[in-house]
Amino acid sequence: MIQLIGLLLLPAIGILALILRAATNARISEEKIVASVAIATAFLFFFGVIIGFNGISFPIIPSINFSFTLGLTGISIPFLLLAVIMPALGLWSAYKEINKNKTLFYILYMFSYLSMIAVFISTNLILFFIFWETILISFFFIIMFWGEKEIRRKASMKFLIFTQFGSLTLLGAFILLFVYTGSFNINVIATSIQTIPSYVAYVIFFFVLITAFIKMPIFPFHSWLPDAHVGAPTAGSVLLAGVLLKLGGYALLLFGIMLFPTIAGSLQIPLIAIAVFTAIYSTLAASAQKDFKRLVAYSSIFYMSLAFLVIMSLNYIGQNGAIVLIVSHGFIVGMLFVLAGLLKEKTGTRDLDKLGGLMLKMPLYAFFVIFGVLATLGVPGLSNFPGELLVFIGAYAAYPLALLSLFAVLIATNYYLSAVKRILFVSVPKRLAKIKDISPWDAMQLAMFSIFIVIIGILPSVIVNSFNFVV
Amino acid sequence: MLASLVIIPLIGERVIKSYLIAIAATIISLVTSIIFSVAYFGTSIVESFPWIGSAFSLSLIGSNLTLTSAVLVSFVSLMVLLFSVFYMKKEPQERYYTEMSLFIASMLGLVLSGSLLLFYIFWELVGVSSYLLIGFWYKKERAVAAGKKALVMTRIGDVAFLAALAVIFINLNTFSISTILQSLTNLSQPLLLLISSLIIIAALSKSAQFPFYTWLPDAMEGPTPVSALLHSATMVAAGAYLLILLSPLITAAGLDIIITIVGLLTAFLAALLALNNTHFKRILAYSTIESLAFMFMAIGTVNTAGAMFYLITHALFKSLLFFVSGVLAVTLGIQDIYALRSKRLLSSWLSIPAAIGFASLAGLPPFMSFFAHASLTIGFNLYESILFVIIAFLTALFSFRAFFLIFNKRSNQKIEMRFSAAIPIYILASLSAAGGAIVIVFNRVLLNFAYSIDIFTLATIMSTIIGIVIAYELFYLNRIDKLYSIRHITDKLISRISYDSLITDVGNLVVHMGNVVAKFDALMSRFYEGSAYTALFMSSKSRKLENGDTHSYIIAILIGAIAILAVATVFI
Repeated sequence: MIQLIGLLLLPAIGILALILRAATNARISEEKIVASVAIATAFLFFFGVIIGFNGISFPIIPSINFSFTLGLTGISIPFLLLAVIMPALGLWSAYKEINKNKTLFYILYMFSYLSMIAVFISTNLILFFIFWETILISFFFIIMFWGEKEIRRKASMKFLIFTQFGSLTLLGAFILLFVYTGSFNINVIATSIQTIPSYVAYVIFFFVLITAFIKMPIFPFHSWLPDAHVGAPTAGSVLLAGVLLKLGGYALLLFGIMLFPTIAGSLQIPLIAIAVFTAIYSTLAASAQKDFKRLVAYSSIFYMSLAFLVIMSLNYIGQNGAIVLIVSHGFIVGMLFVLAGLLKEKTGTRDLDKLGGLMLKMPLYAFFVIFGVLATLGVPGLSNFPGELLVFIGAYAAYPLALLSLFAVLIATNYYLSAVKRILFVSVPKRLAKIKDISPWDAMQLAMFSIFIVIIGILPSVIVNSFNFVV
Repeated sequence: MLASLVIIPLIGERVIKSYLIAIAATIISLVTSIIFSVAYFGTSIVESFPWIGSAFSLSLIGSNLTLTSAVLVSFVSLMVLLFSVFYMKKEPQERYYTEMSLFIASMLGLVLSGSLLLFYIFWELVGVSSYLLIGFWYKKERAVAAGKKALVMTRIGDVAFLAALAVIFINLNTFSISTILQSLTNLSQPLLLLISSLIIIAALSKSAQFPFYTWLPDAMEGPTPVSALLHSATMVAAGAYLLILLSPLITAAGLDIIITIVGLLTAFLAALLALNNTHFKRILAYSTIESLAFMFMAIGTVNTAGAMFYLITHALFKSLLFFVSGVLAVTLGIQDIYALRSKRLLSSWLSIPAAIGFASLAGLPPFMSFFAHASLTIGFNLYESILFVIIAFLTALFSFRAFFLIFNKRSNQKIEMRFSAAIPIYILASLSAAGGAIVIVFNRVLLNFAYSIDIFTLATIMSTIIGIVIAYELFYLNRIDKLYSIRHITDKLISRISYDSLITDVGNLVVHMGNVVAKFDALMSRFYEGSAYTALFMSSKSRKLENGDTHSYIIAILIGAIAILAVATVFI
């Protein structure tokens, strides 16, 4: 058995090493420290998945039931996969992009790495909330200091205010849970959930719902996301889309659906309607985007709205689909953000109107763009397909009209193919005549994403078997 | 074992002479599928693989129908790959043969699928390979646009198919085609209607039937071997194949008549459009749409064996015609039939195979296609038969218009005969010509297959011959100019029925809506920012209230006290 705390100790050692490096002027580079930590953590994680994890618990403030308790919830593993792998994959982009205040950046990066892992294995709600907040704060600084010059200030403030509001409602939910059950431990709360009066339960569910609306995000609380993505550096975008958005889904599943299935059931149809609306709204908005990164950001809202839709379907197939889709989307959208970053790096622009014909100049890059887009569109053999399949089956089982969201799939096909056409095909603008293809090093990063996308696509049972979800 | 059929074409491509690998793999597939179809004749074998749990299992099935189709697919693929050696000589080999192999593997998988889920998986994959292959010449704007249009239009069907899968799975808890067909009685009538309509939409969009047919002529921007294999012989026939597999479902829902009507309408429109077009490949595209419509008509009259036989026949003679157009495009660089007229090609080696191809298209005896037509029409009622006679006339007219214009008069114009082009053309020509023998074999393979030669068959032949004679008079003897005024009218009529602009309008509408939504979204975003600034502004003002200045506090208290007193006196 692997101790869960090991997954936290490794990044913590990394942070210490970074600080020591800065203090002693050691000659090892920051990236090497982070990379070795990431590799070690990933190995530990995969090893743990095979032989099993062991929790840990020791009290900190017993009077308010604040203890350092680590353990797996039923749905931790798939989310942990994202939390462990994504920062490692984002490192490639950080290595190229970040060239000032590197130590500070990597310390923040490690802090968010540690907290992202910790959130998914904390079973004490105070601990959960501390790590949840640490992620937001580190991200605020990452966007603020290393983001794109023109909009990083606006983007980071918007990100902080929106997500802090979501945190507040979550905190409210936690406090109410504590007041009525006398515990901050998820497992204890789950067993004594009957003691909560129904009107309080509604309030708690409502709070969690707002958190999920903001974090996933769902209309009308999504407007921080496109800005945050465009403002963030590529590595930040990868984590933002790959892990942060998933926090909303995780919180909704854990504190909304698992604790209050009957309330979720009573609100099912209006919530599904909102999700369907968000799906069509976001795909329409994406159709009009000229900036490739912003387009990917909007389509990210679309896939999260599908996940939300099917979480609300409240049936077994649907919940499986939601988690497969969430994991798959993490890898695919991460890959697309890396591709958008490379586009900016190589051509100096992400404006679709100023691009074209890159397939001739950058065949390797073109291959990965086509791969990534086909993966998002749910081509069989790639990871979104099993997700979408289960999602639509689950959605139909819950509420047949939810299949209206299939129109959004059509719109998504249209704008993604347009984007591919405008980036890769037809003629190369004169300005880009001397452009070079991506390096094998970049290709390796994209290939890493692709490997996960193909594995999940062909063997979705890898993900499905890694969790057990009980409604 | 069946899986090997699917996997073999996928084996690595990264060697210099990649066409050799692709061809070798396809030959292996062909030989294996022939062996299987002989070895398992009359029986059916199923191979199942669990995917997401046992309910979502993927299964392949080897029965007479599927194995015959596998033989057909691998045979036509082999012919097309041979032809590609000639046609694609100067193009990037690796990408072309990789994408072709992906397609062939998916198509073999599709015909062998025993579960609807696996069928859908391959259905999507053939769609994607079609997108990639149409846009093979990615520098040509039209080719890229055509690829995109093809994928978006067929995605409409894919989405309908996906919805149908959801409905089927929730109600029957299985994807196995045979189980679905056995448990039709468990479904209520509205559900049957829903599932069948979704499946029919899927089939119509894949097979480019009305109202989806506009993507197929555009798809002709791709390389000719691609058009021959994907957009005529195999992929577009997948829609008809789906309906053949699920025909009991459609019958149970009572939607057969819809399929027949759509088929008749499409055949009629396609024949008119083919008559109006002058681009050789586009004419072939419209004739493909028409032939697919014939299959749909047969399926609508619950004559699946006839439809299947016509599918096979069509695959043979239509690839032949595409190859002829490919040879002309490569050697002369001309696709327009009026431009080809001046080349006077009648004495070239192509004219006999082309004659066989066009005669097959028109359904003349004694070619294989004649028997296919005879078996196709077996279940038609009076009105359908009469309409079919009219369509046969139009078909003869447009196909021999093309023939007489292209192969017009003898001359010394030579077309170089390349081994890799001539072999597939002659093989296909002899197969299309040697109809009778195959009919007998087919009769044993599909036991319920039948054909009849009745009064309507004779009427069809008569109208076909009239069509050919008119075509000869008008186009071979060049009396077209007298008909100018009539052409003018048909042009106008046809611009009405080809509603390409409507589809562009729908596309524009989506973009327009997208712009509106994006503007609204930006506005909303600004509203949030605005409220943040308002809060900031308010706080900067209200800060003055707590500035520690005693004087202002005293004044504030005084004003407050006076206000309270004033309010109190008014109310008391």
